[in-house]
Amino acid sequence: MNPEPFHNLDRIIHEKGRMTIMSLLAASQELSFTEIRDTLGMTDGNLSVHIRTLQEAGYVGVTKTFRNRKPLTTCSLTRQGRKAFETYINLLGEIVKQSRAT
Amino acid sequence: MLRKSAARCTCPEMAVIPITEFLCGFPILEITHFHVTIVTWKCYLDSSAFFRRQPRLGNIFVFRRQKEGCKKKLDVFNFMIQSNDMQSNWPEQNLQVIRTLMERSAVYRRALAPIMLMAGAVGTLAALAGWKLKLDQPLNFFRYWSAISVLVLVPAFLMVRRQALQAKEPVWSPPTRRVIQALLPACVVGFGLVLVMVLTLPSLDNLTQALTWIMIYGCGLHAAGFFMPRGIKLLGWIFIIGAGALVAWCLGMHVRLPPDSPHFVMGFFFGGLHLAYGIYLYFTEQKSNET
Repeated sequence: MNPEPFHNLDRIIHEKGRMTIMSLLAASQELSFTEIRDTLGMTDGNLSVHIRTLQEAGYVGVTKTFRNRKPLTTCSLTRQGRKAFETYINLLGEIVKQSRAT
Repeated sequence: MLRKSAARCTCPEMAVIPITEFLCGFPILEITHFHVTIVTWKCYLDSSAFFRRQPRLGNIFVFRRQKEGCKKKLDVFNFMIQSNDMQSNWPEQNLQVIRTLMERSAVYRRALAPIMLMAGAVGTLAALAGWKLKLDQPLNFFRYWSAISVLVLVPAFLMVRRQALQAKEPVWSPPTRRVIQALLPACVVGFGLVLVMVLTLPSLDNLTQALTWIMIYGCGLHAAGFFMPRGIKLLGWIFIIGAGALVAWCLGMHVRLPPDSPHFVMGFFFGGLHLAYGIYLYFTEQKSNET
């Protein structure tokens, strides 16, 4: 089996917590921090660390606004993040194809 | 692999089923004189943890026995192999689900600000040219503004194509396809309806023609807005409500606008509004990409 696709997997995305965040954001235009937290059953601290990692990599954009005088943090995938996730999914597809062939 | 899963299965539903024999890796539930009943495994995607495979009571297949020992027959074996493949292509299926969801949620953003600015500039200049050329006959008005719409569409397509090629992405991407599909009915209806009105109604004035165009274009923008940034829907509403308000004002106040006013109405809506939205996008798009 060719190990190249395994090595090319994006290490930032290839982590359970961050992959679920990316998957969730990839399937919707934008989501609030609380929506992500409740859907994934993560703690505030855990989620904010993952979001910060993804934000530093340029994969997730965070917008802070106010709704009904309450702060609202919304997250969305950036163009770069969407592209990186697409590449990641394609690599997983390649790995699956390879394992079928062997 | 399936045999292993079966051996390690802790599913309570399965625990009560007396599994005595396996057929090509599938547990046999029952063998009678007439039937062989087997159960296959069903794997599903757990939303909280992608690609987690959990054995679960799956499909139950009942085969009619033709005669004793039919389970070794080639047709049954082939079916087993096919079933096995159907059950084990779950990674591809899951990846396909993710790809589909990504495509559906993708918002069309390609070259939107340049297209809006170009459409606005062309619309404004066309209004001035139309007024200067005194194109007041309904058929001339229709021909003139149809030509202007083509003049806007061609460079818009070239801009989209150029940006797609630069980004090494397909021009006919799923978001582009959805936006075109949403816009097309309104464009066809607007063009067809106004053409029929021009050809059949001798008393048709250019203002009615312009307002029909504007309102239907607004409906198209609103439909396309579901796959585009949020502002597009609002722009669609401005077209619809603006044109509607103008109709109400003219009818309610019995106002007759000057004959060259339709060009200015078209210029305001197709020129001014596009230009304003283009400027808004120009200053906000970059910011949103950075976030």
